[in-house]
Amino acid sequence: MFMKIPSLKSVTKKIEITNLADPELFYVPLKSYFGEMKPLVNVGQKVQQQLPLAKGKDGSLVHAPVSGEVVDLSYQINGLPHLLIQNDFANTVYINKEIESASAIADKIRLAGIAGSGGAGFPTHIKYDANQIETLIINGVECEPYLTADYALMSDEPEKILRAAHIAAKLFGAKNIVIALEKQNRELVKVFQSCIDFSDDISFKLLPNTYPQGGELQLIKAVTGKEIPKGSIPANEGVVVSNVGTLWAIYNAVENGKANTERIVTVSGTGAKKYGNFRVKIGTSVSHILNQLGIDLNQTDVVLGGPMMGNIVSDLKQPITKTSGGVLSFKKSETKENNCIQCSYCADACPQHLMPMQYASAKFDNDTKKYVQFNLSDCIECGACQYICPSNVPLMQSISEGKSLLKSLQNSVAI
Amino acid sequence: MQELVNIFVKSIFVDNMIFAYFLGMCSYLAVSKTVKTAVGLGAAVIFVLGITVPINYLLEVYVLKEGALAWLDPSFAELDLSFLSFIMFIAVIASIVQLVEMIVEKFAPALYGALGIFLPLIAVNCSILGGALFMQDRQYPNIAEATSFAIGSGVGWFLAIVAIAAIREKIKYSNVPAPLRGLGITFIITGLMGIAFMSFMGIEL
Amino acid sequence: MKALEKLMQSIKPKEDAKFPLAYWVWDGMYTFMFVPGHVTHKGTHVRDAIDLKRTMFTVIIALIPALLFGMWNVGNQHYIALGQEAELMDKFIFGLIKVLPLVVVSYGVGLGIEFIFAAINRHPIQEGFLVSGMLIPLTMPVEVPLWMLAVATAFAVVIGKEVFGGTGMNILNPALTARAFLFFAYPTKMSGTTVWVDTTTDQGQQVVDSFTGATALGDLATTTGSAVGVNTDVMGMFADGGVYSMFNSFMGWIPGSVGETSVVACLIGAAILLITGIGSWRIMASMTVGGLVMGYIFNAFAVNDFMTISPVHQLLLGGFMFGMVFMATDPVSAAQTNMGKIIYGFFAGFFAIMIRVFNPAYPEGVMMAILFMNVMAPMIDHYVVQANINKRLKRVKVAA
Repeated sequence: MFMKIPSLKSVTKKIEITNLADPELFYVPLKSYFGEMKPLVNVGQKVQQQLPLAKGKDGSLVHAPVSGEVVDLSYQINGLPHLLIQNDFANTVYINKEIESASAIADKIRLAGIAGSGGAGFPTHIKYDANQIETLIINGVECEPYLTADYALMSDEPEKILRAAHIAAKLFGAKNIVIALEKQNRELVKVFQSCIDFSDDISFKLLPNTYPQGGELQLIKAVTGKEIPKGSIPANEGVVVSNVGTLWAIYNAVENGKANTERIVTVSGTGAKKYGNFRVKIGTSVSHILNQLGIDLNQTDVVLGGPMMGNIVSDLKQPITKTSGGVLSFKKSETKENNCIQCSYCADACPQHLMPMQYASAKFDNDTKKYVQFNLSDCIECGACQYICPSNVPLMQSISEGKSLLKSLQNSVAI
Repeated sequence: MQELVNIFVKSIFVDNMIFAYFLGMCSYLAVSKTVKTAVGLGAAVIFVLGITVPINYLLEVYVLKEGALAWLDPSFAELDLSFLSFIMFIAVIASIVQLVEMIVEKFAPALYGALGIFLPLIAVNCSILGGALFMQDRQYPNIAEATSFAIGSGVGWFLAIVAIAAIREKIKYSNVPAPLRGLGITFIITGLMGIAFMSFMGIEL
Repeated sequence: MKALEKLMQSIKPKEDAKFPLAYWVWDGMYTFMFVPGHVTHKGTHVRDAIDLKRTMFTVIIALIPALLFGMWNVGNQHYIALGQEAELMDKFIFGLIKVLPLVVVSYGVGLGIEFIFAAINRHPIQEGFLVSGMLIPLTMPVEVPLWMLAVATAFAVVIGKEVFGGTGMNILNPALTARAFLFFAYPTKMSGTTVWVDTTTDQGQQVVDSFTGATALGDLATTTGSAVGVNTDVMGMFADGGVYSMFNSFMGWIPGSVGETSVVACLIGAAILLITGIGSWRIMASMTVGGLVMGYIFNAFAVNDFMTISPVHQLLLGGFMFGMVFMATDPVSAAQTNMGKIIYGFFAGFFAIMIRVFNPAYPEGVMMAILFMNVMAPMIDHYVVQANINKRLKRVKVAA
């Protein structure tokens, strides 16, 4: 049973994408899905926009968002290394011949440094290394409240997304392309249909406005009816899900030879005085965005990402990454944690049919057995349980602590 | 047949070993930390009660009761050995449990693994002796009823220990005042459970 | 409200002062009236509108029809016993005077203890007692002495709840604990024929003759000793037109505990709980089914008059509905899992009818049945969860 959550999107839904002035200093995160990345440049080196800056173990790349000088290679923010670039505002562009000359589309995607823009940031070139795919699902379901970055992309640049969808579908021979949308956004169907690139193999699936409808597994279940078995991946079942933001980046890479150095970010929230969808370069700090809009940083808590899954920003230098869809500011809120009354609302709300209250009790004595027994690894951290909890039990905290506990346990076993 | 069912149900709910007579409390309190071990001990109690009570019944009827030895020789009709019943019952229970343990280990290793340490543990459990003494006290007319009583009592004990183990697992994380943690709260829970079981008290079947 | 909050803030004692007790009592008062607390750093940043306090208030709102009806019925039964005619308002005011002290004592004692424990344990006060404090007087006979009510409330709050660590940790429903405590400690004040109706006349004398003050189930319990068709006078009361007819039982114009007689009031409460999603429909539905099943079994094998009562009529009597709507659905003491809720509810209904018929000493079997199932709920949950885990493991194996 999925929950209905007020979408709160209306404030930014109709606002067109606009650009935001670049900051002087960029903090490029040196982390991909598979861990830290190795810098390819040196301190003091002049870099041009779109020059590859670092490479991960799996071959994923990150590129310079602007031209300028590399100032630091391991600037720590929240324990993660960041590469600092002093912007020279010259905007000289490095012509990345490799992307254009690469013959295979999958190579182009890798060289452009594209990672899933939906949430986890899984490298797209690995995901697209698949065949025997029947259905490509375009994830236009932005189920997090407030966020409209994907919506803005779909309404402003639908032809780019369709173009990329065709490219991707051709890549792994998918016969069907399904665009999944929320019912509240059904006007987008017309927007897509009026595009030149619209063809008959594209169909639409309107889904209820519930949370977390946009989760990969939930979306596949809703669109195809398939449940992905534990330990398997969607590609084994003939399905690939791609976020509209990812497709937009693929379009830029394949058609224009441009690396993935920017994304759309929604600025909203109860504490925000200005709202909008902005085209922001990766590495722009949160404080810069909020300063540009004149939002008072003292009065608000700033959340990077959606209100359900995002985290409070403890260091305002924290940059926009390839996966952050929103910068939300909330008036400093206070909640009182009560004892669990075992109402089991959280179990009802859980899209993965888990029992989140058990994790809260497992946290008391770090009971790893209990975490495993109640299938913590199946949790997609959507936050639905904590949203619904009438006692405000910090369930997400116990879940993330449990996950890191299990991870450290696994590592120690491996050694 | 109906009488057997009545005795069975009655010894589970109405004359529950734990909540009506508070017998076998030591192992009930000690081994009820997790449901898994509680199930093991409970199963062992059912098993042992189901075996020792019928044997003690035969002993009672043919050896210990007043005039029970008349089948040997009519001159024994006056003999009353019931003063020996405690020692006899205990001896029977202890030896039977040992014997059964060996037999089970030899022929059903899986069952032995499941019951494991619990078999010798409950040889001295007072609910086992209590079962034998209740059997003597209530004077069941035949061995079938005695067995029905024994298994019913065992099931009642099983239900009680599994229920409290589940509760203890559930309250493991609750904020119990420090002096009451552990056995203290278990006693309180047992009392509250006793209140709940009082609903069956006085039912005539 | 703002002014009050300011006043509260101005007298805020220091947490590390000489008398830390003062801080926690203040904190208790403050959290009780406003919603302060700490900031969440991890997790969701939007919240569902339903929080604990609202849940509690919703249940209290759902209880109001039962409370109001109970007040009226106390007066109604009083004037019936005296053989006098009275206006609606007279009856209501009489009931108000009788019932209000019960509510005040229950809340006073319960909240007082909660505050003391909050101060001793240094935890903020929790709103858990709001509902219990309303339920306790509603389950009591109107003639219960106030000191007894106070003792029972204290027992329920301390032994039933606080020793487990407060709201949400208890294993038995506190309101039922209070009632069961009185029932076993002072049986003469909790059952019989003299406690359900105030029979004192205006001159302070007791009406003794011409009136039996037993509850419907108390009357029925007298029939269990004899065969079917013997007790025509008692059974006559349950036929159409009798005192305990189906219609009267449904409307609640019969003697009984303060709030539990009217099925109508309970159903209004049930509707509120179900619409807001606070009460579990699984428990209510399965408990109804459990009661009906047992009722039909008794009908089929009836050996005394009690067993011949129609199953639907059984459900209308003796606070079955009240227990089902407000007691069995208490999330803390009920089963947590969906399957567990169904099993829990079914057996609660099943045992409720069984105990009241089989056990003449405890005609009000609903309370005992729910308490019994409260005890069993963790076990049911444990096995339901175990079954689900096994199912999941099996699925993984198939996939692998």
